[in-house]
Amino acid sequence: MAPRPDGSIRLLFLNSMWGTYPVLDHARFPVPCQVSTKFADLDHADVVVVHLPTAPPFEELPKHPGQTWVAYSLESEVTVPAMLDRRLMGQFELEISYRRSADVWSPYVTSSDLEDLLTAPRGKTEACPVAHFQSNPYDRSGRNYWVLSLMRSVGIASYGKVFPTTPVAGTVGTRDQRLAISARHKFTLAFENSLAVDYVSNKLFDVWMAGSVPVYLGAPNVAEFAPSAHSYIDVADFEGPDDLARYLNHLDQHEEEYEAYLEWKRAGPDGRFLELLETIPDRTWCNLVELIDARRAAVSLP
Amino acid sequence: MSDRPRRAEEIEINPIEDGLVVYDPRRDRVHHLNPTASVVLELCTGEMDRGEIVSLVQAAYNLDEPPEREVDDCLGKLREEGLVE
Repeated sequence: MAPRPDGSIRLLFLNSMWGTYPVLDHARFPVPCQVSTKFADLDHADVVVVHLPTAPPFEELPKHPGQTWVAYSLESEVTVPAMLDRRLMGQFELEISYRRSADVWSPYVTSSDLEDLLTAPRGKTEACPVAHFQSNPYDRSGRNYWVLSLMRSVGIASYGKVFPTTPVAGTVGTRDQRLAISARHKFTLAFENSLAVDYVSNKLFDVWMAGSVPVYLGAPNVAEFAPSAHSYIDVADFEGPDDLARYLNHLDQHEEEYEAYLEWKRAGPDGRFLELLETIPDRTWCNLVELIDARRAAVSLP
Repeated sequence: MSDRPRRAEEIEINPIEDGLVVYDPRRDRVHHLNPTASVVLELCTGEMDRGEIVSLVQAAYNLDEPPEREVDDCLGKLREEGLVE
Protein backbone atom coordinates (compact mmCIF):
# COMPACT_ATOMS: atom_id res chain seq x y z
CA MET A 1 0.00 0.00 0.00
CA ALA A 2 1.62 3.26 -1.13
CA PRO A 3 2.29 5.99 1.46
CA ARG A 4 -0.44 8.61 1.59
CA PRO A 5 0.44 12.15 0.42
CA ASP A 6 0.06 13.54 3.94
CA GLY A 7 2.22 10.72 5.36
CA SER A 8 -0.62 9.51 7.57
CA ILE A 9 -1.16 5.91 8.60
CA ARG A 10 -4.51 4.12 8.80
CA LEU A 11 -4.46 1.66 11.63
CA LEU A 12 -7.19 -0.94 12.09
CA PHE A 13 -7.73 -2.97 15.25
CA LEU A 14 -9.26 -6.11 13.77
CA ASN A 15 -10.64 -7.24 17.12
CA SER A 16 -10.93 -5.89 20.63
CA MET A 17 -8.65 -6.73 23.54
CA TRP A 18 -11.04 -8.39 25.97
CA GLY A 19 -13.76 -5.94 24.96
CA THR A 20 -11.72 -2.76 24.96
CA TYR A 21 -9.28 -0.95 22.69
CA PRO A 22 -6.06 0.81 23.68
CA VAL A 23 -6.15 4.53 24.27
CA LEU A 24 -3.63 6.04 21.90
CA ASP A 25 -1.60 9.14 22.62
CA HIS A 26 -1.79 10.68 19.16
CA ALA A 27 0.16 13.75 20.22
CA ARG A 28 3.31 11.64 20.50
CA PHE A 29 2.95 9.88 17.18
CA PRO A 30 5.60 10.80 14.59
CA VAL A 31 2.97 10.94 11.82
CA PRO A 32 -0.81 11.47 11.81
CA CYS A 33 -2.63 8.24 12.52
CA GLN A 34 -6.25 7.41 11.78
CA VAL A 35 -7.53 4.62 13.97
CA SER A 36 -10.46 2.38 13.17
CA THR A 37 -12.11 -0.57 14.88
CA LYS A 38 -14.51 -1.23 11.99
CA PHE A 39 -14.01 -4.42 10.02
CA ALA A 40 -15.29 -2.61 6.91
CA ASP A 41 -12.06 -0.59 6.91
CA LEU A 42 -9.93 -3.67 6.34
CA ASP A 43 -9.39 -2.96 2.65
CA HIS A 44 -8.14 0.57 3.30
CA ALA A 45 -5.96 -0.01 6.36
CA ASP A 46 -2.18 0.39 6.21
CA VAL A 47 -1.75 -1.50 9.45
CA VAL A 48 -3.94 -4.29 10.80
CA VAL A 49 -3.50 -5.21 14.46
CA VAL A 50 -4.74 -8.64 15.49
CA HIS A 51 -5.13 -9.35 19.20
CA LEU A 52 -4.20 -13.04 19.14
CA PRO A 53 -5.81 -14.18 22.43
CA THR A 54 -9.27 -13.13 21.22
CA ALA A 55 -8.77 -13.28 17.46
CA PRO A 56 -11.49 -14.65 15.21
CA PRO A 57 -10.34 -16.86 12.32
CA PHE A 58 -8.29 -14.49 10.19
CA GLU A 59 -6.22 -16.75 7.97
CA GLU A 60 -8.59 -16.42 5.02
CA LEU A 61 -8.99 -12.65 5.25
CA PRO A 62 -7.63 -10.66 2.30
CA LYS A 63 -4.23 -9.14 2.87
CA HIS A 64 -3.45 -6.31 0.49
CA PRO A 65 0.03 -5.63 -0.88
CA GLY A 66 1.90 -3.20 1.33
CA GLN A 67 -0.37 -3.80 4.29
CA THR A 68 1.42 -4.46 7.56
CA TRP A 69 -0.18 -7.04 9.82
CA VAL A 70 0.72 -6.93 13.48
CA ALA A 71 0.30 -9.81 15.95
CA TYR A 72 -0.40 -8.54 19.46
CA SER A 73 -0.43 -10.58 22.66
CA LEU A 74 0.48 -9.92 26.26
CA GLU A 75 -0.73 -13.40 27.21
CA SER A 76 1.85 -16.16 27.29
CA GLU A 77 2.63 -18.39 24.36
CA VAL A 78 1.37 -21.32 26.44
CA THR A 79 -2.06 -19.75 26.76
CA VAL A 80 -1.98 -18.52 23.16
CA PRO A 81 -0.43 -21.41 21.19
CA ALA A 82 -0.78 -19.43 17.97
CA MET A 83 2.35 -17.57 19.08
CA LEU A 84 4.30 -20.81 18.68
CA ASP A 85 2.82 -21.58 15.27
CA ARG A 86 5.46 -20.51 12.74
CA ARG A 87 3.15 -20.77 9.76
CA LEU A 88 0.51 -18.64 11.41
CA MET A 89 2.98 -16.11 12.79
CA GLY A 90 4.48 -15.94 9.30
CA GLN A 91 1.37 -14.09 8.20
CA PHE A 92 2.43 -11.12 10.31
CA GLU A 93 5.13 -8.61 9.51
CA LEU A 94 5.43 -7.43 13.11
CA GLU A 95 4.85 -8.71 16.62
CA ILE A 96 4.03 -6.78 19.78
CA SER A 97 4.31 -8.96 22.86
CA TYR A 98 5.97 -9.60 26.20
CA ARG A 99 8.63 -11.63 24.35
CA ARG A 100 11.95 -9.87 24.16
CA SER A 101 12.31 -11.05 20.59
CA ALA A 102 9.19 -9.09 19.56
CA ASP A 103 9.54 -6.17 17.15
CA VAL A 104 7.93 -3.98 19.80
CA TRP A 105 8.72 -5.39 23.21
CA SER A 106 5.88 -4.73 25.61
CA PRO A 107 6.68 -6.16 29.03
CA TYR A 108 4.59 -5.54 32.13
CA VAL A 109 7.03 -3.00 33.57
CA THR A 110 8.51 0.23 32.24
CA SER A 111 10.78 2.96 33.57
CA SER A 112 7.71 4.98 34.57
CA ASP A 113 7.02 2.32 37.22
CA LEU A 114 10.29 2.92 39.04
CA GLU A 115 8.87 5.43 41.52
CA ASP A 116 6.06 3.06 42.49
CA LEU A 117 8.49 0.17 42.79
CA LEU A 118 10.55 2.17 45.28
CA THR A 119 7.60 3.03 47.51
CA ALA A 120 8.61 2.31 51.11
CA PRO A 121 7.14 -0.87 52.61
CA ARG A 122 4.39 -0.47 55.20
CA GLY A 123 3.98 -2.26 58.51
CA LYS A 124 2.85 -5.87 58.22
CA THR A 125 -0.34 -5.80 60.25
CA GLU A 126 -2.15 -8.92 59.04
CA ALA A 127 -2.09 -12.07 61.14
CA CYS A 128 -1.83 -14.28 58.06
CA PRO A 129 1.68 -13.92 56.66
CA VAL A 130 0.68 -14.68 53.06
CA ALA A 131 -1.82 -12.98 50.75
CA HIS A 132 -3.22 -14.56 47.63
CA PHE A 133 -5.37 -13.18 44.82
CA GLN A 134 -6.68 -15.45 42.09
CA SER A 135 -9.69 -14.78 39.93
CA ASN A 136 -9.66 -17.86 37.72
CA PRO A 137 -8.84 -21.55 38.16
CA TYR A 138 -7.14 -21.67 34.74
CA ASP A 139 -3.80 -23.31 35.38
CA ARG A 140 -0.94 -24.20 33.07
CA SER A 141 1.74 -23.63 35.67
CA GLY A 142 0.70 -25.95 38.51
CA ARG A 143 -0.30 -22.93 40.59
CA ASN A 144 -3.48 -24.53 41.98
CA TYR A 145 -1.50 -27.43 43.37
CA TRP A 146 1.05 -25.11 44.98
CA VAL A 147 -1.57 -22.76 46.47
CA LEU A 148 -3.75 -25.51 47.90
CA SER A 149 -0.80 -27.48 49.23
CA LEU A 150 0.66 -24.39 50.91
CA MET A 151 -2.71 -23.60 52.49
CA ARG A 152 -2.38 -26.71 54.61
CA SER A 153 0.71 -25.52 56.43
CA VAL A 154 1.07 -21.74 55.98
CA GLY A 155 -1.35 -18.99 56.95
CA ILE A 156 -2.76 -17.77 53.63
CA ALA A 157 -5.43 -15.11 53.30
CA SER A 158 -6.95 -15.75 49.88
CA TYR A 159 -8.99 -12.83 48.62
CA GLY A 160 -9.85 -13.79 45.06
CA LYS A 161 -12.83 -15.60 43.61
CA VAL A 162 -10.86 -18.84 43.52
CA PHE A 163 -10.09 -20.53 46.86
CA PRO A 164 -11.51 -17.69 48.99
CA THR A 165 -10.68 -17.80 52.70
CA THR A 166 -11.48 -14.31 53.89
CA PRO A 167 -14.73 -12.44 54.54
CA VAL A 168 -13.93 -9.95 51.78
CA ALA A 169 -13.41 -12.65 49.18
CA GLY A 170 -14.62 -11.67 45.77
CA THR A 171 -14.80 -7.99 46.61
CA VAL A 172 -11.17 -7.15 45.88
CA GLY A 173 -11.93 -5.82 42.49
CA THR A 174 -9.47 -3.05 41.83
CA ARG A 175 -5.73 -3.06 41.55
CA ASP A 176 -5.45 -0.35 44.24
CA GLN A 177 -7.41 -2.55 46.64
CA ARG A 178 -5.16 -5.50 45.93
CA LEU A 179 -2.01 -3.44 46.44
CA ALA A 180 -3.29 -2.01 49.73
CA ILE A 181 -4.09 -5.48 51.06
CA SER A 182 -0.85 -6.98 49.77
CA ALA A 183 1.11 -4.23 51.53
CA ARG A 184 -0.16 -5.44 54.92
CA HIS A 185 1.03 -9.02 54.38
CA LYS A 186 4.63 -10.18 54.63
CA PHE A 187 4.35 -12.31 51.50
CA THR A 188 2.09 -12.37 48.46
CA LEU A 189 1.81 -15.26 46.05
CA ALA A 190 2.61 -14.16 42.52
CA PHE A 191 1.75 -17.27 40.56
CA GLU A 192 1.57 -16.98 36.79
CA ASN A 193 -1.09 -19.01 35.00
CA SER A 194 1.59 -20.49 32.72
CA LEU A 195 5.34 -20.86 32.51
CA ALA A 196 7.11 -19.18 29.61
CA VAL A 197 10.39 -17.36 29.08
CA ASP A 198 9.95 -13.57 29.47
CA TYR A 199 6.34 -13.98 30.64
CA VAL A 200 6.59 -11.99 33.86
CA SER A 201 3.23 -10.36 34.43
CA ASN A 202 1.98 -7.56 36.63
CA LYS A 203 1.25 -10.19 39.30
CA LEU A 204 4.92 -9.94 40.27
CA PHE A 205 5.53 -6.22 39.74
CA ASP A 206 2.41 -5.33 41.74
CA VAL A 207 3.74 -7.21 44.78
CA TRP A 208 7.04 -5.35 44.58
CA MET A 209 5.16 -2.07 44.31
CA ALA A 210 3.01 -2.96 47.32
CA GLY A 211 6.10 -3.62 49.43
CA SER A 212 5.27 -7.26 50.14
CA VAL A 213 7.71 -10.07 49.31
CA PRO A 214 6.64 -12.03 46.23
CA VAL A 215 6.60 -15.79 46.26
CA TYR A 216 6.94 -16.35 42.54
CA LEU A 217 5.94 -19.19 40.25
CA GLY A 218 6.51 -18.37 36.63
CA ALA A 219 9.10 -17.47 34.03
CA PRO A 220 12.34 -19.45 34.29
CA ASN A 221 14.27 -16.23 33.58
CA VAL A 222 12.49 -14.13 36.22
CA ALA A 223 15.88 -13.14 37.68
CA GLU A 224 16.42 -10.89 34.66
CA PHE A 225 13.37 -8.85 35.68
CA ALA A 226 14.11 -8.60 39.41
CA PRO A 227 15.19 -5.34 41.05
CA SER A 228 17.53 -7.39 43.22
CA ALA A 229 18.53 -11.05 43.49
CA HIS A 230 17.15 -11.06 47.05
CA SER A 231 13.81 -9.39 46.31
CA TYR A 232 11.65 -12.48 45.79
CA ILE A 233 11.30 -16.14 46.63
CA ASP A 234 11.30 -18.40 43.59
CA VAL A 235 9.11 -21.49 43.88
CA ALA A 236 11.47 -23.21 41.44
CA ASP A 237 14.14 -23.23 44.14
CA PHE A 238 12.11 -25.57 46.33
CA GLU A 239 11.55 -29.31 46.11
CA GLY A 240 7.86 -29.05 46.89
CA PRO A 241 5.17 -27.14 48.81
CA ASP A 242 6.23 -28.57 52.18
CA ASP A 243 9.79 -27.36 51.65
CA LEU A 244 8.56 -23.91 50.65
CA ALA A 245 6.08 -23.78 53.55
CA ARG A 246 8.88 -24.48 56.03
CA TYR A 247 10.92 -21.62 54.59
CA LEU A 248 8.03 -19.14 54.67
CA ASN A 249 7.19 -20.07 58.25
CA HIS A 250 10.85 -19.69 59.15
CA LEU A 251 11.02 -16.20 57.64
CA ASP A 252 7.78 -15.30 59.39
CA GLN A 253 9.49 -16.07 62.69
CA HIS A 254 12.82 -14.42 61.87
CA GLU A 255 12.28 -10.74 61.26
CA GLU A 256 15.84 -9.90 60.28
CA GLU A 257 15.96 -12.56 57.58
CA TYR A 258 12.56 -11.46 56.32
CA GLU A 259 13.52 -7.79 56.21
CA ALA A 260 16.53 -8.65 54.05
CA TYR A 261 14.08 -9.31 51.22
CA LEU A 262 12.95 -5.66 51.43
CA GLU A 263 16.43 -4.18 51.69
CA TRP A 264 16.45 -3.31 47.98
CA LYS A 265 13.62 -0.87 48.63
CA ARG A 266 15.96 1.12 50.86
CA ALA A 267 19.23 0.54 49.02
CA GLY A 268 17.76 0.88 45.54
CA PRO A 269 17.54 -1.68 42.77
CA ASP A 270 20.55 -3.23 41.07
CA GLY A 271 22.19 -1.26 38.27
CA ARG A 272 21.34 -4.16 35.99
CA PHE A 273 17.62 -3.67 36.70
CA LEU A 274 17.88 0.07 36.00
CA GLU A 275 19.63 -0.72 32.73
CA LEU A 276 16.82 -3.10 31.86
CA LEU A 277 14.21 -0.40 32.45
CA GLU A 278 16.15 1.91 30.15
CA THR A 279 15.89 -0.59 27.32
CA ILE A 280 12.12 -1.07 27.59
CA PRO A 281 10.01 0.93 25.16
CA ASP A 282 7.30 2.55 27.27
CA ARG A 283 5.02 3.76 24.50
CA THR A 284 3.92 0.61 22.73
CA TRP A 285 1.65 2.10 20.09
CA CYS A 286 3.84 5.10 19.46
CA ASN A 287 6.78 2.73 19.01
CA LEU A 288 4.76 0.71 16.56
CA VAL A 289 3.88 3.76 14.47
CA GLU A 290 7.53 4.89 14.55
CA LEU A 291 8.62 1.47 13.35
CA ILE A 292 6.08 1.38 10.54
CA ASP A 293 6.95 4.90 9.47
CA ALA A 294 10.65 3.98 9.38
CA ARG A 295 9.97 0.81 7.37
CA ARG A 296 7.81 2.75 4.96
CA ALA A 297 10.53 5.34 4.50
CA ALA A 298 13.06 2.60 3.84
CA VAL A 299 10.82 0.98 1.24
CA SER A 300 10.26 4.24 -0.60
CA LEU A 301 13.98 4.99 -0.95
CA PRO A 302 15.07 4.90 -4.62
CA MET B 1 -9.25 -45.98 34.39
CA SER B 2 -6.11 -44.28 35.72
CA ASP B 3 -5.35 -44.02 39.44
CA ARG B 4 -4.00 -40.57 38.70
CA PRO B 5 -6.61 -38.69 36.70
CA ARG B 6 -5.25 -36.69 33.79
CA ARG B 7 -6.91 -34.08 31.58
CA ALA B 8 -7.44 -35.35 28.06
CA GLU B 9 -4.67 -33.97 25.87
CA GLU B 10 -6.93 -32.99 23.00
CA ILE B 11 -9.23 -30.64 24.90
CA GLU B 12 -8.89 -26.87 24.66
CA ILE B 13 -9.36 -24.99 27.92
CA ASN B 14 -10.17 -21.30 28.08
CA PRO B 15 -10.78 -19.17 31.15
CA ILE B 16 -14.01 -17.19 31.44
CA GLU B 17 -15.47 -14.99 34.15
CA ASP B 18 -16.82 -17.74 36.41
CA GLY B 19 -14.90 -20.87 35.49
CA LEU B 20 -13.68 -22.55 32.35
CA VAL B 21 -14.98 -23.27 28.90
CA VAL B 22 -13.68 -26.54 27.53
CA TYR B 23 -13.90 -27.56 23.89
CA ASP B 24 -13.55 -31.21 22.99
CA PRO B 25 -12.72 -31.39 19.27
CA ARG B 26 -13.14 -35.18 19.22
CA ARG B 27 -16.83 -34.88 20.07
CA ASP B 28 -17.21 -31.29 18.86
CA ARG B 29 -18.70 -30.39 22.22
CA VAL B 30 -18.32 -27.33 24.40
CA HIS B 31 -18.53 -27.62 28.19
CA HIS B 32 -19.03 -24.75 30.61
CA LEU B 33 -17.56 -25.84 33.93
CA ASN B 34 -18.55 -24.22 37.22
CA PRO B 35 -15.75 -23.07 39.56
CA THR B 36 -15.59 -26.32 41.54
CA ALA B 37 -15.53 -28.57 38.47
CA SER B 38 -12.92 -26.24 36.98
CA VAL B 39 -10.68 -26.68 40.01
CA VAL B 40 -11.05 -30.46 39.91
CA LEU B 41 -10.30 -30.57 36.17
CA GLU B 42 -7.20 -28.42 36.60
CA LEU B 43 -5.98 -30.67 39.41
CA CYS B 44 -6.13 -33.67 37.08
CA THR B 45 -2.52 -33.33 36.02
CA GLY B 46 -1.77 -37.04 36.04
CA GLU B 47 0.54 -36.54 39.03
CA MET B 48 -2.00 -36.70 41.86
CA ASP B 49 -4.21 -39.57 42.88
CA ARG B 50 -7.85 -39.22 43.84
CA GLY B 51 -7.02 -38.93 47.54
CA GLU B 52 -4.67 -36.01 46.95
CA ILE B 53 -7.26 -34.25 44.82
CA VAL B 54 -9.88 -34.70 47.56
CA SER B 55 -7.44 -33.29 50.09
CA LEU B 56 -6.65 -30.25 47.93
CA VAL B 57 -10.31 -29.53 47.23
CA GLN B 58 -10.93 -29.72 50.97
CA ALA B 59 -8.22 -27.09 51.45
CA ALA B 60 -9.60 -25.01 48.57
CA TYR B 61 -12.98 -24.61 50.20
CA ASN B 62 -11.87 -24.89 53.82
CA LEU B 63 -14.15 -27.86 54.44
CA ASP B 64 -14.37 -29.69 57.75
CA GLU B 65 -14.71 -33.06 56.06
CA PRO B 66 -12.97 -34.41 52.94
CA PRO B 67 -15.38 -33.98 50.01
CA GLU B 68 -14.99 -37.62 48.92
CA ARG B 69 -18.39 -38.10 47.30
CA GLU B 70 -18.45 -34.69 45.62
CA VAL B 71 -15.02 -35.21 44.06
CA ASP B 72 -15.94 -38.75 42.96
CA ASP B 73 -19.13 -37.47 41.34
CA CYS B 74 -17.25 -34.69 39.60
CA LEU B 75 -14.46 -36.99 38.38
CA GLY B 76 -17.11 -39.43 37.18
CA LYS B 77 -18.82 -36.77 35.08
CA LEU B 78 -15.54 -35.45 33.70
CA ARG B 79 -14.58 -38.99 32.70
CA GLU B 80 -18.01 -39.63 31.22
CA GLU B 81 -17.56 -36.57 29.02
CA GLY B 82 -14.07 -37.67 28.04
CA LEU B 83 -12.41 -34.63 29.59
CA VAL B 84 -10.42 -36.72 32.04
CA GLU B 85 -8.70 -40.04 31.45
